[in-house]
Amino acid sequence: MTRQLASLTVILLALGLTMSCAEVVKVGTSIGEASGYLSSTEKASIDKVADKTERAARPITDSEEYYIGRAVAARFLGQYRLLDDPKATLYINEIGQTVARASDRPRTHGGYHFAILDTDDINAFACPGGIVLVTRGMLKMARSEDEVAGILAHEVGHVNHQDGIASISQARWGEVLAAAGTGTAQSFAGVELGSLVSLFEDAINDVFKTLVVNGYSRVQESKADQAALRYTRRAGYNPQALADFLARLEESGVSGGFRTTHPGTAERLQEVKATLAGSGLMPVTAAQKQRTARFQALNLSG
Amino acid sequence: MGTNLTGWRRLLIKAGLLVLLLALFPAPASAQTLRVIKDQDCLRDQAQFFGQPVALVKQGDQLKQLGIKGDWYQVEFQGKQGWIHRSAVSTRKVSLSALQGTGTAQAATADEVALAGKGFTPEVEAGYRQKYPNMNYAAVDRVESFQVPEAELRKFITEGGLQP
Repeated sequence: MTRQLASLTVILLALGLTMSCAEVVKVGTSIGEASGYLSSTEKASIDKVADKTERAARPITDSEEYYIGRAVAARFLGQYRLLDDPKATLYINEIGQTVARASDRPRTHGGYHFAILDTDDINAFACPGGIVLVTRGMLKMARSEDEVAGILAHEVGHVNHQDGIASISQARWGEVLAAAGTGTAQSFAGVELGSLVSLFEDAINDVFKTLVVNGYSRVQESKADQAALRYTRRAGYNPQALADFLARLEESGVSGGFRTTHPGTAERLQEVKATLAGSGLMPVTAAQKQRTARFQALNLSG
Repeated sequence: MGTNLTGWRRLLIKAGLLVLLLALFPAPASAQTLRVIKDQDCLRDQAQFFGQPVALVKQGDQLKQLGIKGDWYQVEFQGKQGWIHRSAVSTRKVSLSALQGTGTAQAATADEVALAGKGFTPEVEAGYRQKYPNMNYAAVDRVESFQVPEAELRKFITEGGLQP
């Protein structure tokens, strides 16, 4: 009996190298049932758990991230109006596309799109998948194109790192995949779709809560700042501009908005300055002055 | 006698495992297949965003990988060769049977599974929009229409002394 068990273990280990966990479990339960160790009900129950566990391992796809991002943006845009300024909108899309192309994830399912929210609040939000919303108040506080590039690059960093998606718990995602995987195409239109819509709504709430109420973690903010420094430098912008903007934000004493959801501005500034000191300061070039001139011509700070 | 039987059993197990391993590890394909995960994108004549477009590809299209240079794959699609950024394609494989719980083992990208009607799909978004008509999807569609034409972005980058 010991030898049989040892042989079975060897077979299952070998299968484990080549098959998925659920498939290995099913081989094991089939042998268990055939040899009388498991009842058919026990076998079915174990197989079901294995299937569900394996489904939970599938990550969110790019297209799923895209639909979550659209829903999060739809919720923001239900509360804030878009600024009706085609020139300013084109301008921030030009800056945004430039830094997004220099990011670690220049291509997403629906691409990057940047929009201005018509509010004095000082804030910026990265919806999963690439829609970045920045407030008029935030742009008003910026003094140069390079600073705007730093702000947008920080948000692109959150998209790159999928920080919004990370607020959807593993348990919630497990439920989504369990609901998605249990039915046939026919039943999908009915009960299954209803439960997926509810779970979709819960997932949107998770992301929205992080973006608006709780904010990202200190580590996520720090990583987004470091990413912003890399992306702006790669794109040809002066990364020092992010430090200049953070310093102004810190000095302004403005409460709410960006300061609520991006905590610890002083700490962030200190870290950004340390990185800049380590990588060497970039001098203000004629090109940077040229960029500042075109920024001022748009009168976003007006 | 018992020792002989054990020896035979061991031999049979080893032979069985060998057959299993050969069946489950087919000879590697000579070229890797990449699948487009972006809504749509272009193959370009150079490994950079400002390369000239040579072919339009859409989500799910299969591209034959010919080479790699930094973050760019050189690929062939419908007889045309070009370059595409690594973030626009997926090499990830998942077992469709494992996700659906049925059928024979078949490789598919996670996106294909989503497209097949699983997970968060356009149908789920439609259901959500019906449930919450106050969500401003019209504004989202407007934001997604904000595009910068290639020529304009190139001009913006050049005039600003930025990196193409």
